[in-house]
Amino acid sequence: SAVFTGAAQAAGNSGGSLFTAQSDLSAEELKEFTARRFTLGQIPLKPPPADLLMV
Amino acid sequence: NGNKTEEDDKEDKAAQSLLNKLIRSNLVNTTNQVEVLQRDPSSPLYSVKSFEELRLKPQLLQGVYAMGFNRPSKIQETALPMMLAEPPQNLIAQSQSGTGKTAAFVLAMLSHVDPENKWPQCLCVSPTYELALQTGKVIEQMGKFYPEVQLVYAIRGNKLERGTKLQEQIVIGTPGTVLDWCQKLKFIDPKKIKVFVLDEADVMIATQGHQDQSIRIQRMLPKTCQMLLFSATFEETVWNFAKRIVPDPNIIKLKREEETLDTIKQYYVICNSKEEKFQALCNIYGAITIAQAMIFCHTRKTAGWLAGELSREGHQVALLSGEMQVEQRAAVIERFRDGKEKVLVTTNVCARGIDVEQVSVVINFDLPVDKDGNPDNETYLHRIGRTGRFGKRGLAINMVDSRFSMNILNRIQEHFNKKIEKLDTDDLDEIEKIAN
Amino acid sequence: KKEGLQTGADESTLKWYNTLQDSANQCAQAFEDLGKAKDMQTKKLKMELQKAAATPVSQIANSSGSPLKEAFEKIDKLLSGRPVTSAGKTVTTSQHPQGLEFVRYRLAEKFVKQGEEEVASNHAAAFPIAAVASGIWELHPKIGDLILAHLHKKCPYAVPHYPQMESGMSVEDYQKILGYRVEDSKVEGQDSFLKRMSGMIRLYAAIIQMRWPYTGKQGPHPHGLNHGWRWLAQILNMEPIADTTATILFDFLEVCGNALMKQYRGQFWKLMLLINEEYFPRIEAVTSTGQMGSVTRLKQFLETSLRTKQISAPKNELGSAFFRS
Ligand SMILES: Nc1ncnc2c1ncn2[C@@H]1O[C@H](COP(=O)(O)OP(=O)(O)O)[C@@H](O)[C@H]1O
Repeated sequence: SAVFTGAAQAAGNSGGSLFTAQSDLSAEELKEFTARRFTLGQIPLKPPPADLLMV
Repeated sequence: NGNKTEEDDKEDKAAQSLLNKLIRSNLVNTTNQVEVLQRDPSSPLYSVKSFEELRLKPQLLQGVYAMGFNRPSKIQETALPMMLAEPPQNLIAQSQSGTGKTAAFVLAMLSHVDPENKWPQCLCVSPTYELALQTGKVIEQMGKFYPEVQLVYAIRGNKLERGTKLQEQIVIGTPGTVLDWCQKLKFIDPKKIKVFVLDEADVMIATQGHQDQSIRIQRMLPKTCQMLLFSATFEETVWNFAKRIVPDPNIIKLKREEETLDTIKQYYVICNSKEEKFQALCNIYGAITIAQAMIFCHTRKTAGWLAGELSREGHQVALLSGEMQVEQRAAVIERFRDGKEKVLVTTNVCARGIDVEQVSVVINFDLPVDKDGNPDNETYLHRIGRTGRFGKRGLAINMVDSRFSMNILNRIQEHFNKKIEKLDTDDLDEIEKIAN
Repeated sequence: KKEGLQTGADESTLKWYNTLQDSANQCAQAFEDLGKAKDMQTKKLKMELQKAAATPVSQIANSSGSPLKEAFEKIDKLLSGRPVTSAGKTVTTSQHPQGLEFVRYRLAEKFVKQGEEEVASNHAAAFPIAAVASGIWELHPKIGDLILAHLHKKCPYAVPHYPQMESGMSVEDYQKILGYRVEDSKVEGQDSFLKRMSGMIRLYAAIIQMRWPYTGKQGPHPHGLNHGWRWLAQILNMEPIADTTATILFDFLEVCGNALMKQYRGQFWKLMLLINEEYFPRIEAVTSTGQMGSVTRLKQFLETSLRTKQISAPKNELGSAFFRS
């Protein structure tokens, strides 16, 4: 049965991967990751891009 | 030889107290009210519902919370304001073990210490080395954010050079050594002691020497020193001793919570042999989630056999058996509490006095009978019963394997006038129902 | 998009949560015949299957590696359709057409219950359970969704999600949805409730960072630290609730803060700063006296972390020496 597959992916984020590609981020999300600080209430649920870990 | 000497009994008391401390990971639930007898009945009685109200040093408040505490226990609500009052008040407090006495006096000692002064200011005597060590651990935990305060153990093995002047602010030890350190060896200047704690007074007086030594220590202390005495029980002898140690005391008593079967679901399972009992046990284990279980057997032999069978099935089993020394028993209990083993198999003899309140499921692999083959109701109640009417739910399962044991079960049932329900351990739906 | 903290979880989070619940319900329906069987033979089989699934989980302990491995292998065998023997009786899932679905469902449920019962009173227990769960999850992915569904049902804060009272809902039903145990219309005490929630949050935080070290193939973690990020981000986007938020946030950070720090470095520290400067005051604002314990523990954790620029590895983490033992 295909009942279970994909439920974990449905979180609207990167599913299985530890990082998100910049191209998969919306403009607002990218802005949150590139800014020095997060905006309260606007933290992206997708994990950060691998090339934006140093801020 | 069945006749235990008095000496054995004394050792038992200290050992039991230690084992209970080791197995305990929680505050004992109490619903009884504390009784307070104030030295000065006209002064207002404070009781606190939060640690904030005590205006503790921030380092200590942090230590208290880091231990996972959220609010004062029943006895602490009244005892702490008295102990922390200015000027200090003397206190005699009695409540069953596990109600928060140690935590309370440790907090009082830490609060009264002046860390700038590099000499002993608090003195705490305990009946045995092992018990002193347990209290020491609490001091270390609670004082975690107060590293300026130092602790030293006055116990027999701890040999210091002659002429040493202790710099540690808190000394904890056994009466004999503490007395030597104050009197003969002069490591401690008793005139500078601000707080004197005598812990486990009921265990203490079981040893003649200890009582005298404690009194001699007390005589060396200044009049202004705060005297605190704690006991789990309160017979006449303890009371007389307490009055000699603590002048003008406030007295706090918390009645021991009666053990009751009211919050316990009791069941029995019919089996035909010990092998069938073992099968039933495996079914129960598969069907319900048991964080930790204690299984009582009648003989050491059955206990050994059962522990072996359970291990072969892959269970992590601890066996508490009669021939073990106190240290070995302590080690078994500690591993069990830490979850290294999840099933504790034992006979009643070696588990007598151990507080099984922490364990969610108790299984009587054999029903408790006295030496005449009559039901041992008192042991049954102690194994299965729980204190605190709103306490944890408990589950007790009795294995019945003959007409004889069925008869015992019926008599236990009659004695307590509480129904013990039959359970079919081959029926998953039935077992699951009892756990919900 | 709304400004400031939200009152509930993001739509995508709720969708995920609902999908998982639906799939767990479908799984339960798929073994209805076996579940409701009345004849003795099938009932006996059901008992054996339940035992085969649950017993190894109850045997997970933090004593040493090799018994853990034994428990793992028993579970793996059962899920792979091979015969397993317990207490002298042998059983396989193929003995009943619904055997496998039943076993999966019950096994996932058992992992969560063990976390609830055991980790609640002994935090160290989270790691061995998480090691086995994440390894089984990797080899049998369907178990993973079921573990999540059971976990979310018992502890909505693991989603994280703060259920709202819906119109027509009784207070008792609402308390149950919030995760409280209610018996004879009496609701459990706050301390006991928080202890169980802590247990399940700690189990989840351990699962997302643990790997089963013995399997040969090591693909990506079946439910890894990206979910740690998601969980933390989601919690911090929502209005805190008294006592509960401080408690679970501390539990979560204490168990997997170190792993998240290593994984997401600067971005993780941005989260920590936000908590310290903006989110923590919001927690304080909803805290009343008598709830200072959880808040103080969180504050202490934040201060130490930010001062030392380090988050220490969790106590009782299982090192490589453990798994060699
Ligand atoms: N206020 C409190 N809140 C929660 N736990 C407490 C509190 N006070 C003590 N405890 C815990 O309860 C257990 C028993 O306390 P303890 O002080 O040793 O009792 P006693 O000295 O009366 O035997 C210990 O595990 C202790 O850490």
